[in-house]
Formats: sequence, structure tokens, C-alpha cells
Amino acid sequence: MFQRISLPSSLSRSLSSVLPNYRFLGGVFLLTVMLLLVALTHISIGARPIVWADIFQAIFAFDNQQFVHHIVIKQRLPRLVVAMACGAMLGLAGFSAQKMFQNPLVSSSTLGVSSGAVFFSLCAIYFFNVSENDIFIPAFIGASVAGVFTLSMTEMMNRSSISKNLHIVLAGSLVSMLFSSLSSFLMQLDPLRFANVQDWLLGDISPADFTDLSRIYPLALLAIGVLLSQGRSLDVMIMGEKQARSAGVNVTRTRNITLLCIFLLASLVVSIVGPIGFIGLVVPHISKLFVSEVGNKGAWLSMLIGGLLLSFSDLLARIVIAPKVLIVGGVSASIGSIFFLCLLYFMVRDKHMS
Amino acid sequence: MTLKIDNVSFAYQTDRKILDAISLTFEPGKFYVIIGQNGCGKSTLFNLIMRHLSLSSGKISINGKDLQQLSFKEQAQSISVLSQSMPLPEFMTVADMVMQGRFCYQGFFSRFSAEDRAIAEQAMQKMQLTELANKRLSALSGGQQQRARMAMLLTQQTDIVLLDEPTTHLDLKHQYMLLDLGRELAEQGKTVVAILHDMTQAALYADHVIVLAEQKVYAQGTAQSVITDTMMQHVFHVNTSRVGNEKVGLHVPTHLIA
Repeated sequence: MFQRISLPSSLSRSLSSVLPNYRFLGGVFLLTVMLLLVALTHISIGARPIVWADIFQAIFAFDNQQFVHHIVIKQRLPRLVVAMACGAMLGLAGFSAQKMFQNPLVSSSTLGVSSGAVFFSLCAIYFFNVSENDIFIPAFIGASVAGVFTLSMTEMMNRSSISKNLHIVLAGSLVSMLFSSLSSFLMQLDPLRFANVQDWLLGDISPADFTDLSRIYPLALLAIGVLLSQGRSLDVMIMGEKQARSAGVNVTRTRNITLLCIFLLASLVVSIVGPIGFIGLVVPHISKLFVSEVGNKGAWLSMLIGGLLLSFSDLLARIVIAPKVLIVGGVSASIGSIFFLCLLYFMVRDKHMS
Repeated sequence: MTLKIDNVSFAYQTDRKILDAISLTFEPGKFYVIIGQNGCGKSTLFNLIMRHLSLSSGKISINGKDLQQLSFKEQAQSISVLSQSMPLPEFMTVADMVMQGRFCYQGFFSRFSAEDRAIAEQAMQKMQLTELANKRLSALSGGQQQRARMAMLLTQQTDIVLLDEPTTHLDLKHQYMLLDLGRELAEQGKTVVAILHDMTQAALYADHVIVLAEQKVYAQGTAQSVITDTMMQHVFHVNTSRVGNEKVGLHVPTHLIA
């Protein structure tokens, strides 16, 4: 019924989303500048302050003789890069989860996925003598077990309906609580054995460096690529499962692939820096300020924001009670939980809970 | 494309049969209307065709090919459906939603092309939505939302079109606009199947009326032969008298004109 017509540019513009493109580009620009500022500050501040000029020199003209260059390249840069990478992974995982579930409250931490990953990692360390460096596989199994557990509990609760958006979060916190208590129980069995994972339990970037990243990056890139490839199917799924299936989406496959990637990203992060909470929860909300949820721009932006947020949290962790250093997981969790409470408050106020 | 329902049965549990060995053939170029009481399995039939539910027994095929063998994408290129109560995501824009109708034509790496956009744009024009293209779905009235759903269906450009109570939420003008569109699609050689509640509209538009009752096909044929006072009494349990001329008639409850 349609003949092919060439499209005037005004029409094609009307087909893009409600937020104009300059808002997206502006967002990218603003966030990139902020990221650079945070990055430079992050590297320059510390026990030994380093001026920006030295940072650029260390990166672009490394001089083996200069002690400062060693601090930049060997100590501070790795920490920053790990923070950005993990933040990006958590951000994308959170974005995809919120888009798929169409629920502004979900993320890998509120799904209980991180706690599951932690508990299974501890089990692997305790029962199978796995080294702290090789906990990705148990972490992934734990993430999947906890995630599936939460989702089946949600399914059960959805049959009696109170407030569906909350069900999944409620189930997630219960599962999370279960695995956290199991974890502390396990740790009491042999406090000495677990002495050096105390910080990791809260989410700690400091011991991680490029070798950790080099171990996880192939899987991380794979998961990110696959998640981005599901973007269009997820777009259609925003309209509900039935409509998505009618439009040609294999709903079950898309859902399973997306969940798998979210579990993967969450457990990869857990395996190197521990359970850093709430980044994934906050990031999608910030990205929605700049770009619509439809399309893949939001996914890219979420990675940028995630990297920014976690490196900023790490910066805070390093300066708030300097010269002592806070654990970044604690900082991100306190920012995140305050945000979460505000979100709940506004949702209840605007009655978006059904 | 010919849509063939072959000996199809469906039951939620073994004891609760919804459809019992139904066979129907829908041919290209015709406007079919299914009528029947609530709960007679009209929507279930659509859900079975769309594979939201799986058949208890029987076979559904298009042009002789079993639907089960098609991928969801291939199916979406052949059959589109306007659902009765499709929830709409509040924050999506009309244009974004209508574009999703082109999903089934996308390859793994391809992006929406200018042609995809043109098709969506035309569908919106057809449904008089161009002005609303950038509005969020939550800002639309029920009737506008229904037209947005229809526009999305049009962008799917399928040979078989299923309309589940398409006139719901629409004001009279748009009800007839939508039914006219159904006719137009049929005249273009598409297979159009609509579930309707209004007997008069069914009689006015249908080439072929199918009455479902008690899990079976009660009757089918031209509107005149099927929509009768006897049928109204047996299927809908309303005593009616037909008022009107040979071409157009209205079945009025007897007690109102006695």
C-alpha cells in the first residue's frame, strides 16, 4: 500500500525520539569533560600531589627516571582505569536491566546478583581453595543462581499483585540478605583465611590493576557487545512481551541473553573489585536526562556515566578523610542508597508504583 | 496469503476447553469478521495464531506452511495483529512506537533505513497521527493510542492482518475510518480478519462472517445468511427482530419494539 517515497528532512527528524539530538550530543560532551576533570583530579590528588603537566608527560612521554611518572602509570592510572571500566560495565548492566524489566528500581545489586556472586566466591575460596584471583566462575554461578532465585520469587509474588515494581526489588533484597548472611556465616568459620578479602567484600578498587583487567576484558567486551546487539529487540519489548512477539521478537531468547550478559558483567566486576552497589541503579536515570530509552544511545551513554560515577566515587573515597582512604564500595553505596530512597519517595508521590 | 486453521483445539487445563476442533480458512482479498459472546474463544484464536499460546492439537498454516516452523521474525513479516489491550509504554513517542513495526525487516547489524522511516511516516499520515508524532504515548487519548497501534500494524506491511476489536476506544468517525481501512486492505489482496461486537458493522463490512459459540463454529457465510434472529437468540441469548431493508438491517431486541 505504500509506494517508496524519499523523505524530506523535516519528517525524518520528527521520527527521532522526543529529546532532540543536541541534547544527546550536549550530554556526551558535558559528561566527557566531567570525566576528564575527575580523571585528572583523581590522578593528581594523593599522598604526593602531582601537577597536571606531569600527568600528561607521564602518559605521552614516559621517562623511566622520573619517580612521579612511575606513580602515575603504575599506581594511580590503573586504579582510575579499573574504576572507569567497572563503572561502565555496571552502568550498562543497570541500563539493560531497567529497560528490559521496565522498572526504574532494578540493577545488579537490587536483584541480589552481587551478593550471590560474593557468596559463591567465598565458598570457592573456602571449600575448594580457589585463589582470590580466579573467582570469576564461582562469582558468575552465584550471580546466576541469585538472579534466577530473585526472578522466580518475583514471578510467585506477581501472581498476587500488590505493587509489581516493588516485588522484584523486595525479592532481590531478600535474596541479597540471604546470601550476605550465608557469607558472614562462612567467614566466621575461618576468619584468618578470609582476612584479606574483608575490603573486597565492600567493593574495593585499590588492589586491582591492569592484570585484573586483562583477565576479564575479553568476556567483558563480549558481554557488552552482545547487550548492545540486543538493543533493538529490547526497544520492541518495551511495549510488552505479547506485542514484541507479534512484531517478530523472540522474547524468551532476548530475555535469556540479556539476563546472561547482566549476570556476566556483574560477576566480572565482583570478581575483581567486589560488590559495588547502586552504580547500575543510578546510571540509567541520569542517562534518561539526555537521551530516550529507545535506541542504543542510552546504552552507550550509560557506560560513560557509569565510568564517571565510579571514578568520582573513588575520588571521593580518596579525599574525604585523606590521608586515609575510604573503601569505594561504601561511598558508592551511600550515594546510591540515598538516591534510591529519593527515587522511591518520588515514585510513591507520583503513584508510578503499579 | 491463505491462513488455514486446521482442526485446532485449545484448553487451558484438560477440563477447560476453549476451542474444540475448529477448522477455518481465510483467503486473500476478503474481509472476515468473527463474532461471538465474550469468552467464546475469539481472542484465544488470535493468540494461538500469534503463538502467544500453544495449540493443544491441530495445525495452523499459512500458504500450506506450518506456522510452528517459522521464526518469530518470519511470522511477523506475514501476520500482524491489532491487540485489544496492548499496554503502551508511557515514555515512548508515537513515532518511536510506530517504527517498531519495521523490526521484523531488520538484519542483525542493519539500521532503520530511510525507506523504513518513509513507511512509518506514511502509516502515521494514514492514521492521522502526523501532528502527534513526537507526543508521548501517555499524552494521547484512548482513541489516539488505538490509532497509533494501527499505524504500527500498517508499518509491518503483512499479507495477513488480524484486528481484535479494532473499534474499541474509537469515536464513531474513526471507527468507520478503521473499518474502511480494513476493507481497503482486503481490496488490495490482503487477508483481513476482524473480531467485532457490533452486528451492524459486521454486516456492513464483512465478506464472510464466522460465528463462534460453545467452543465450535456455530455458523459461517455471508452476513445475511448468518446474522439472523435465530442466531441472535441461540448465540447471544437475545430475542431480536430485524429492522431495515435487504441491504442494511438492525437487530433490535423484541421487547423494545413490541
